[in-house]
Amino acid sequence: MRKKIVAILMAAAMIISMLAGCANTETPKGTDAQTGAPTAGEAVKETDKPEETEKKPDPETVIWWVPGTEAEDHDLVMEELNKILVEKINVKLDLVRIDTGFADRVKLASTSGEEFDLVWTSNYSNKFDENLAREGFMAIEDIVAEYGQDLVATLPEGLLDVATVDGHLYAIPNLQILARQLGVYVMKDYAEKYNLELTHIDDISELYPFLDQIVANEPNVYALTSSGVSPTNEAVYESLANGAVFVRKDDTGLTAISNAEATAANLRARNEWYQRGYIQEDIVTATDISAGMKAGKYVCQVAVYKPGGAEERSINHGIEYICIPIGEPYIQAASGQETMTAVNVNSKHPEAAIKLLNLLFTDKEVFNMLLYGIEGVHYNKIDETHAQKVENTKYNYSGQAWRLGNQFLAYYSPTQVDGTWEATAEMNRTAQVSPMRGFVFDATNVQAELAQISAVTKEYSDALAYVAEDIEAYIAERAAKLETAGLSKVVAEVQAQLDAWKAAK
Amino acid sequence: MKTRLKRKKIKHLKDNLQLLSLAMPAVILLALFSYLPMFGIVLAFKNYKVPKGIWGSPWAGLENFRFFLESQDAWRVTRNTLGLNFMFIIAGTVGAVIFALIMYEVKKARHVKLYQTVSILPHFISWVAVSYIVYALLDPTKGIINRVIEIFGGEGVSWYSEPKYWPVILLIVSLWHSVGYGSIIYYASLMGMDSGLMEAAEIDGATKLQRVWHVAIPHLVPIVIIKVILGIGGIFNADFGMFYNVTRDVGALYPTTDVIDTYVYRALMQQGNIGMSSAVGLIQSIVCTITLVLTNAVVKKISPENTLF
Amino acid sequence: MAQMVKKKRRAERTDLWVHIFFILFGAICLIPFITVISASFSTEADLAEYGFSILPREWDFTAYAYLFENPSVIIKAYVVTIFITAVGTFLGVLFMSMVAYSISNRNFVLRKALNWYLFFPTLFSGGLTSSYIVNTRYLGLTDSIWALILPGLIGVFSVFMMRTFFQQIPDSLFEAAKMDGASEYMIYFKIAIPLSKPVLATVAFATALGKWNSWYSAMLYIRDPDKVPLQYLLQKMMKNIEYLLSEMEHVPGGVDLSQIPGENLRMAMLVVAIGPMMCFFPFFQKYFVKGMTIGSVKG
Repeated sequence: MRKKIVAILMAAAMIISMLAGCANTETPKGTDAQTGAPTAGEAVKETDKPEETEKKPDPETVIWWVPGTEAEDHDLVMEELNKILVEKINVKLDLVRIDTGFADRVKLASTSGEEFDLVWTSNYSNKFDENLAREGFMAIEDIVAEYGQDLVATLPEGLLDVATVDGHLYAIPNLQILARQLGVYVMKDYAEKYNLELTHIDDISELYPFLDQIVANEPNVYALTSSGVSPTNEAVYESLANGAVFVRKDDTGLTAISNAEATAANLRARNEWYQRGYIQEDIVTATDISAGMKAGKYVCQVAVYKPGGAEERSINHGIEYICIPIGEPYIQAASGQETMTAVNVNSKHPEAAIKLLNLLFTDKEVFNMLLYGIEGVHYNKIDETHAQKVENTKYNYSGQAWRLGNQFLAYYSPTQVDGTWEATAEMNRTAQVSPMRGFVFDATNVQAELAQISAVTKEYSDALAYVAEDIEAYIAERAAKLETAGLSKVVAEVQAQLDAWKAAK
Repeated sequence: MKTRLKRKKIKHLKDNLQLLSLAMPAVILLALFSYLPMFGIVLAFKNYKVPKGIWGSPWAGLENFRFFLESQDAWRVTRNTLGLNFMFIIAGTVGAVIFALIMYEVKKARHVKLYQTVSILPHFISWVAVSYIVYALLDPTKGIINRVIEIFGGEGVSWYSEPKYWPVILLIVSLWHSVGYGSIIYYASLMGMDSGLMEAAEIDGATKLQRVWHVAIPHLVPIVIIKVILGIGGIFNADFGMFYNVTRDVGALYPTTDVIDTYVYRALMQQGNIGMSSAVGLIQSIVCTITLVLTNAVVKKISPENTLF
Repeated sequence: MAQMVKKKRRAERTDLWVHIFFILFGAICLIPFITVISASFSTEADLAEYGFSILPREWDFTAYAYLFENPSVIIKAYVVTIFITAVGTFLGVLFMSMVAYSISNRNFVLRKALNWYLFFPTLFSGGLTSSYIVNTRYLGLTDSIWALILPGLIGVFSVFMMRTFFQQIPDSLFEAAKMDGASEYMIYFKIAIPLSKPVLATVAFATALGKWNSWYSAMLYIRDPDKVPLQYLLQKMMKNIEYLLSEMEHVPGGVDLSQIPGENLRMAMLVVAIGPMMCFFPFFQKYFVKGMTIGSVKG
């Protein structure tokens, strides 16, 4: 009898729990109080209107989630900024900076129905395709067409395609450097000491004479580091599907090539570098090289190139660098996905959100206030294009321009070289464009395979390739494991989608 | 006669109600924070879509389980998880008990306090920091261990590329980290032991070893069994911090150190699907339950009064 | 007489070995710890160049200066952490001992059921997502300090430990009290608790340690900067490093490395976090370390 009662009680507990979960179907009331707002139809048109004599509807507040640390004067600046925003477009901004676990927090927030309107997304963090897979973003092509016309005008041709899937637009790419090019940052002292004359290279092997000299004469430093980027790969290929599949940059036929095949040259190159002594001996166990970088232990660092990059890096590290670009700038299929702003599928103020973005992409004054704060308090304007932050300023998001809108509108800060925006825009314009520009891969059918592939590529990492005693055996072993993880299936899936996309054009 | 029985029954009821009320706060807390969220288990079977919510999302059958169950590494990580954890549980328990017994032999309270305080220090060092310490020892070029080996004329070992040493290395690290802190509960139990029994045994001429075996150990058995059973109930969940950090996530060591939690972390890093992570959690839960029931049954055979249930 | 002397000498020799054992073990526990502390007082460059050592090559306080740059922030974090640790430990030990007592009592009809009820959640969990939903939407714990105290307050390990202890108290005591007409409450408070100080102290310390170190809940639920506990503050700095490092690949031109704290800072964070707990430990310790003379109860 007692046992029965207990069993019933426990069953009841479980059932109640199920019902509780049941309630979580519709979009719930948020935890933040919202100032009520009328719908799009009544919203004020965003032009420079003179004082209204009729009563304006209450401004809608747009909540925007962005990774980063909140500045001390964050609320102060928001208040001032909102005065202007309300005046111009009758919208208030609540910029929320999440400093830890951004992707997790966003996931939890959207699952639990927490309120937010805009959210930063990219192809490497709070991933765009992941969010799409769970339908977390709102399709905004119509709203953008109506309220984001100025914004669209600032974007280069085809940029919106990288955020468009099946004809629906799901995010606004931020405007910044688009073309991707790698470069070698060389510590200036060593470059001068060994008369490094190169101003451009196509392959790391061109640096070998210089690197050999470093190895021979400078025992206390490491000649080369190339973590996270592969110049060998990028010289020939661009990647899709989290790096599982590659396509040759010049291949208009769009043939999908497996990671195992494409990246073999990269692994061999790394092995060679290690054999030649360019790479630090403990590369396998070294997890954080930033300390070494600050201490000036890495003579050559392969990283992403951008105009003004060497100067910026010099200031940031406290060591002088020059930069040798590798290859040519290239706009990848999904270039632009690195930083985008999306609208939460459950957002209640999508129109206001787009209006806000529209303003931030075009209005220099407003955008720079968002970045630099209040003039005189947080920064001083030197002229129309330069700003200098106040010593120990309590607000400075200028380094975040690439997350927030149109980088090219920002004032130059002292670490940036004059003319950088123009040079960047030029680079964007003249770069080679991928034959599959605008193609976005849909991973829903191969999620399990991608997860397994991810596990294998991490296990057979580049670091291990460096120290492999028999590199060919290593490559073969890796290829075999990738195959078992379902790589062929992914390649086939990509090829199928590519063919369909090509046909549809 | 009848009234006496009735009074007894009422007293019985009253006692039970009082006991129930004592249990209530814990019951409520568990209901709110552990039972209520259990509906999340259903996510393992769903293809979650934000606009549809948890219940409206389409069913995914066993799709979310595929990446793990079909993985070529599933067997490897399962074997590692079970094997290593089992070893840690046994060794850890034995180590902590022995440690507590030896501590019991220390006569002066202030000595005990000193030794105990020092011995729990490792427990407070985060796994990231522990990984640095281990690295200082095992670094192939500058590490202390290799240097000592070379002084004795041997050849240094490339520790971070030989998976076969790592079960032992991890065992040592795990013991170092947990033995001091884990012995506290056993020592506390020994403190509650009737010392008269020990004295009586001594007078009867029992050697120290005999005294320990026949008095102290039986006293500790109930706690040891509970701890072991509970430990086995969690055997499928590895201490991610240790496995990930101490091995520095070096792929070459995966054959012996890759456990379920590190594998899942790696696999889902690129594709963080809510359904997939729920699925793995569920698998872990089910296997833990099976091992637990089995263990409890084994214990029942040996020493029935000490079972968990 | 000779027998006694022989016994005493043997006893002394065992004592000697015991002490040697603990001194050796103590050394391997202490040395790494000292290394960590010394790393926190080193310069970042030295650490990168020479690795860890027992003493810093050059004493340097920048790590601590950085941590305590904003003393008001750290102090607030300490206050918050102390609050949740104190309240959490008190409530935790109280509630856990209460339920442990009830299931240790053989007269309790729901004993077996409660055993199951307590144990089941250690096997099956709804996962982070549903916990988050329950905590934020149904329990309204967003940005509440109780979100850092209440969830996970009941540790099943500890409850079962306590149950075992209570079960080992001789029945005669309970029966005697019952005959005197004591209620279960009184037995719990007057008999079970006083006799179980060792296990209570152990559990209390473990609970306190758990609350002291917790940061993940804070990351999920706390928005108000005045409610940030210490560990979360430190973790934020740490995660920021990882984030900045991963950004380095993606942000063209590199990240301002001066923003990335070095090893010395991480070690300093560790020291700052551990320090207080180590100071608290003796306070708990005195309850479960007594001289050899005190036995519990003679039948």
